[in-house]
Amino acid sequence: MNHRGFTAFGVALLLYVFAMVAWVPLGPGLVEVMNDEAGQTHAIAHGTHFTQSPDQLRAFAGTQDRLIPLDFEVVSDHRLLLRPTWPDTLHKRSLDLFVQSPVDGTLSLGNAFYVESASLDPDHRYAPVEVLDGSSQLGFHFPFQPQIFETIRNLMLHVPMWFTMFFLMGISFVQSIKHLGAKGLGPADERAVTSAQTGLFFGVIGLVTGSLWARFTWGDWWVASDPQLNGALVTVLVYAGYLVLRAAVDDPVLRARISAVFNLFAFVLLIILLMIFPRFNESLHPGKGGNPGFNTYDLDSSLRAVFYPAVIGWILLGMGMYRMRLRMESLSRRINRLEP
Amino acid sequence: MMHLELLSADLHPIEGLFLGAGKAGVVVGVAALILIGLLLWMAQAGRRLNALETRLEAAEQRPARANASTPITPKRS
Repeated sequence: MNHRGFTAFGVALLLYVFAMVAWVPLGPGLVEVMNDEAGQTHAIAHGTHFTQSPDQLRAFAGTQDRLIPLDFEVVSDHRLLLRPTWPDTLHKRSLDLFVQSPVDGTLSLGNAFYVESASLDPDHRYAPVEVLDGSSQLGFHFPFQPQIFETIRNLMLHVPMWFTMFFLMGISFVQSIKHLGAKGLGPADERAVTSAQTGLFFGVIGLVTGSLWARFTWGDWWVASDPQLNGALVTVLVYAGYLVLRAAVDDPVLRARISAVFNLFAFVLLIILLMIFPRFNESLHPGKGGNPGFNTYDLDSSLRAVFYPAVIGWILLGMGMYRMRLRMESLSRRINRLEP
Repeated sequence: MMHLELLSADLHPIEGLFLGAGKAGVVVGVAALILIGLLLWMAQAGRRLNALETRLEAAEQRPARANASTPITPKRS
């Protein structure tokens, strides 16, 4: 398949991905409990439909096995005015908030209240309460995540940049091995460098988009203690070094051989820095250092229905770009042969 | 999303925009960065590819024209 074929398939898949990213709604969730200036307690939610069935809503404080019913008033689709009356004795000072709605299902917010006024008895039991069926009536939606909110959609945009970079750097690695196993200056060297150049493009885009996402999720453009972020930057710099090294050697045979060896180490470093090292260290990224990945939360598989096509689509587009560059190199070579 | 409006009160207006509507602005920002990057890459690569194809066509036609313009000399008997 030539570069147009890869690009066309990639673009077709990415059109589906962008449509899903734009139109699939985010599931409901509780964001926070806050007190206003008048001392009233508000529960703030996102993507909820409180006004659709206000009479059937229920709110509780406590833990999953011990619940205290809460009095409340529906202010809007995304806001409840809570009027908690705490019993004299609590089993815990830090209590979660649960809101049950026939539309949105059961929503929870951990450690929503800290009650100092009551006495503490860890074995204390409250009067039993009636709870609703926890399932929601909502259609296909992305899961709600605290702090992440709508930016969970970036999973389909930012993360596949790295998958595509991995894939292209993998091609580069294989081509470098082929070059080292062959005699003379074959096509493998050209494929290795072209693939690394295209992969580097995706790496830079991954860094820039990741930095923007981090600013509004973790609060900083660059979290210096995060091994995944630093590993990604080092990897991109190592591959930039690969291109600088190539530019510094004039003899094409020597250049190809030295850079192929460099490329082998660069790829091993990529695996260590991005796939192995972050798993043994604390990281803000999901799935690293004891931080659960998206799969743990993604019970309805809605993310997978978009994420996998996104990964394939971006990789196909990356392949299209790689083949396009190869075609350019091939044309340049033919022109050089024809022109004096 | 009042809490987000409160959060963004001390921020630059552009940052406030990113935090609005459940941080939907961040998704738009990320998509825009990727699309701008891709468009720049594609535009540059497309131009270069076209230029190379034109040059190759010209280079391939040159020897043909040179052959065609070679004067035909009559054979001496």
